[in-house]
Amino acid sequence: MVKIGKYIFDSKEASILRIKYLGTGTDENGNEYPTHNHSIVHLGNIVLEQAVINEDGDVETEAVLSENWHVDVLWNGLEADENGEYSHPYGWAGKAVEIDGDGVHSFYGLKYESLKF
Amino acid sequence: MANLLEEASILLTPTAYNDGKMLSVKPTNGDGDFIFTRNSAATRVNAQGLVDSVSENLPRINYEGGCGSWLLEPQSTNLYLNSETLFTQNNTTLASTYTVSFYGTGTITFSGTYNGTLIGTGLNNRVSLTFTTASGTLISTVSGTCTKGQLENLTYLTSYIPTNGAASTRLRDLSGNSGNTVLINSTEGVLYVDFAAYSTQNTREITLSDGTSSNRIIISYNSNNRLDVNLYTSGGYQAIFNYTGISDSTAFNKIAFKYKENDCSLWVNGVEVGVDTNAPIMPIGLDILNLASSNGATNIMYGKVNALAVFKTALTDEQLTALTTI
Repeated sequence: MVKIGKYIFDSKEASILRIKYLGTGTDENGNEYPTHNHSIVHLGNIVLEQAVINEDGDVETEAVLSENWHVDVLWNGLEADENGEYSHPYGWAGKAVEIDGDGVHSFYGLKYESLKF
Repeated sequence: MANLLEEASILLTPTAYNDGKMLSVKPTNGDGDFIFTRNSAATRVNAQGLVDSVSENLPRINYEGGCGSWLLEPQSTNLYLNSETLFTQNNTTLASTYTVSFYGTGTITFSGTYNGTLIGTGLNNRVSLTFTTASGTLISTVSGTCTKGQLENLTYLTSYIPTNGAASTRLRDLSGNSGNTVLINSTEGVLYVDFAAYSTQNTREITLSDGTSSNRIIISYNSNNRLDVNLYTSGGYQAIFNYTGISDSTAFNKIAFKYKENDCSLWVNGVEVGVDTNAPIMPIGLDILNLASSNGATNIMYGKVNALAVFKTALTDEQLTALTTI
């Protein structure tokens, strides 16, 4: 089953650590790689207020960015519990946010509204 | 000389697919089919030259340039909004490299974190520009008709990703797990590929293996555009080729590696470019063909594939010349 989750972390490093716990392997060259099937998009410090551009086309005021690190995840292969409900993987529920619409990001061809937890 | 590809035990050409599989021409029983995944939709250029959408987990045969080839791409995000008919907009950029593309006759003038222009050349022509930005706001001022606009945080162009009111991500293509011990001969054979890599930045591999790194044959490009072909037996090198004569790994090249006890050779575009007569021990248990490393998950071969074939016997020099001549 595919589900889509939106998450907010205090920092990029915190998100990377949480992602690492989803499972990693090490190849023959010593490079770490994910062993899970989930798809992760780092949105980073998303724009809260757009930049202000003056009439000459110059940036008058830079955009205001979130101080938090935002991540969208397409969870692939989650299993339902005995009640047929799906849950965020361990350690992710506390970072999850639920929004209306897609927000600032979507996965092409997939609807967040119909695939969210 | 008869069509050599008919002698292959596994032959993949851009011919047929279904949900989750790239179907091999040979064998016809399905044992040579490639498992395929992509968890999002994607687009391709169809046989009529039009961009169309392909559902998740369906492989893509792309006809950009007129001829069909398998299209295997990394994950990428289109940062432009309402991309179908582009309008002037601002995007926050990192100190990084971005690629902008669009179809049409209009112009995008960039200011803010990068100054420059990208001028369209025709309604059905896609133009692109790769540039480095500072951290801050990139202003893309659109004049004229710019359709299917795309801003990617990549050093190269990928297929069009439509957006509406939000940025949108196309997820990666991953394929492999073709073959078995009946179709792949561990003691002698030829691994042949006609493909164009997507970028020159990362290591990209095609492997015949036993599913581990101990016994494997690798055709790969490293990050310096060098063609590396290696044969490992029980964890040790038996044959190593490092060929620097390919001028552009992102163009189609025909590559064949022949392996046999003390008789290994590498052929590129009709020419034998390497010989190794000191490879006494061949691999054991080769049974998987991947468009990635032997673990199936790293060094993924993103690019365009015209043909991929495995032969169970070591072909002659004349045959290898014919097979790889462009």
